[in-house]
Amino acid sequence: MSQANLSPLLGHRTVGLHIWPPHGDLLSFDAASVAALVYLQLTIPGQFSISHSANPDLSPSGQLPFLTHGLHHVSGFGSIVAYVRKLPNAHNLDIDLNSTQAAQSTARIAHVESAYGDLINHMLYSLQENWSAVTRPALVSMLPVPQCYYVPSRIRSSHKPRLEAAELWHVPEVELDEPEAPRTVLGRKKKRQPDIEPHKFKTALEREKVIEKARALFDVYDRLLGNTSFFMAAASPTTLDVIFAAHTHLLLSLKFPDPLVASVLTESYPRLVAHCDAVLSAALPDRSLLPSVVQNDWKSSLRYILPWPRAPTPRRASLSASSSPEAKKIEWRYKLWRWGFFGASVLAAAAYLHFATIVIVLQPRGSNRAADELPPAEVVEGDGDDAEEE
Amino acid sequence: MSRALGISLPAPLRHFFSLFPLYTHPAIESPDKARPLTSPTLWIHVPWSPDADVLSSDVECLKWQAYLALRGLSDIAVRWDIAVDGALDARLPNLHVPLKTLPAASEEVKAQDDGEGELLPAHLIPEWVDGQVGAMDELEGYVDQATRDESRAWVALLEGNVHAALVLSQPSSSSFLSLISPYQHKTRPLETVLPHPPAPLFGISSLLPPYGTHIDVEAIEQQYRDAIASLSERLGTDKWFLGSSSPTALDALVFAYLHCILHSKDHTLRFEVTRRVNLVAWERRVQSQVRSGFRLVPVLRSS
Repeated sequence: MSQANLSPLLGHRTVGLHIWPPHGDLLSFDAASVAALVYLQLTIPGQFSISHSANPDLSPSGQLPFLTHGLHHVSGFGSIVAYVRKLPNAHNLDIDLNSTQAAQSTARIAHVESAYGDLINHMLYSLQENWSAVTRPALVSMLPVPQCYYVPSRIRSSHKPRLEAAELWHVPEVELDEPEAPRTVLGRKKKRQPDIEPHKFKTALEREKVIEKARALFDVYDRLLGNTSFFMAAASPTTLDVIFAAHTHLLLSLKFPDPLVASVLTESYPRLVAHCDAVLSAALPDRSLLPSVVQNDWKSSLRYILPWPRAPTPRRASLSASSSPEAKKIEWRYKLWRWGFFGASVLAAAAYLHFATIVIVLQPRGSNRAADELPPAEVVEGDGDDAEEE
Repeated sequence: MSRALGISLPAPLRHFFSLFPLYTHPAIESPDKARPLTSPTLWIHVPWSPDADVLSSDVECLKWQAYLALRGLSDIAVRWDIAVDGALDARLPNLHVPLKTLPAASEEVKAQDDGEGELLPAHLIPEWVDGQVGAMDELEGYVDQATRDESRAWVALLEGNVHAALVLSQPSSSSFLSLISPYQHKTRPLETVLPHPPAPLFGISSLLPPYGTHIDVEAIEQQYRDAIASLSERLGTDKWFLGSSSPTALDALVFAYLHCILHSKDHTLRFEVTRRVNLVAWERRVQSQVRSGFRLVPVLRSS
């Protein structure tokens, strides 16, 4: 299909990326969203637009990030990478890798997404202090009024099965009370109950295990990085660099009150911190280079309170706002024909109902006369029918 | 003991106590007597063809079977008549070993072994195997440190992407009988396998309580295809994965997944692997080696 034959409607489609909104220094509140953003910036700079939405229900698969391009939609970092790689003018990040390295890179990306992702989710959603001081206020600030009351806790409990299976879920079933200020009873300070010793021991053990897991992961990638600036001694960031740096960026840019994993990273692995800076500066040397952000209309979020059948593609109304006058004219013509067709079909149906149906008129039997005195049933028919009724 | 304490029972009391027990009932013969354990037995899920095969149909069980066989052990019995709820933590496989094979047991414990043995959960199997054939070196059988690091990545790929595709392809038993039956084989749910939690069925912001999962099947299949392609690429023509000279834990894992995929009912899943000749040939070769390490326990029924 040559480009010249495409109608003006299709020629102006840009790639639209929908990600979680930014928070403070963070590019986006989710590691996969940051990775997708950096990846698009490295492969198709300037040819995509960003849309910040804290509503995962907009996505066809229910998860952010997702990408729309015309009538196509893909969701999730892996699928976005696979789709963008096939675009005609996309710069291939993994072009310098040989086939073995490309195979290893697939495995390593899966490892980073699962292991590093679990650690980040543990920091954000499992540690109680981080949850109440950082994650929950951030989510509440991003969500509109009805959703901000119940969606954050739903998001938190959606991470529970996976973190429990990985032994990284340390949320107590019953919320422990915050340590209160010493109360004064009858003018004298009441003694506070001391913490239970086995409980403190257990949490210390759990934290040790988390630190061990973090160290095991960071050791692997520290050794892989060596003294080069990007993994596998590449000259420019590859997909593995992008996903690893996205997770590190999330860990380093948020100010955690309980910096369990972040402190391990900053204290013992400076090369990984430098790697993150290198990747982000290669993708976005200047923050103002980020493409235009399309603002989302919050009225649509009210629709998602009720379970609605999911539309697989975004509605056409939002896209026609940014197209050329020629495209608008064609749209208008299509609209005219469409409504004309509906109107004509409604008229035809009404006319058929009026003229071509059988109308049976029943007379009440007012007296005991014989049946032949009753007027015959009135038959009103259309052309071509021969049936009679008596 | 009374002598040690210096106090003894007074004689009338001793006479009185010697009258008891008044009557001893004869021993009840039960048909379900456990036979004394003579060799290590692995408790697994039932194989696809129970008459002809000893390899389990479950990936976890098969993984440990392959690990035992590839580490060089042989003559291990298998049984699959134990229900899942009877296993430790309700997860098969378990290894039932005679006390004399336990590396950490003391001598008197080993002497008073009456055939009961010790039941080990899956995560203690490597320790037991180390006690039998000797511990593996620091590098766990891999060529060098970098390859060992790479093996972690392959493990994550298999247990994430490939396992998700396998779980999706298994038919979910939703018949009424399976709902009311107390004995259920619960595989790992999909939420624990995917790195990003899937959305609930009606959306995360609907007023209905979250129920079910909305799974992005295309994404999982796409990642599965990439995973199998890279697996085949990395294997190439090597004898063991990642160029090791002897089989490692990663080989056991890869074998388990390949075997289960090749026996699954889903055509797309199987086709991806059968397209790659080196994977099929490798799996066939390892299969004969794994099978030779096990034998069936004949199930005797006393009349």
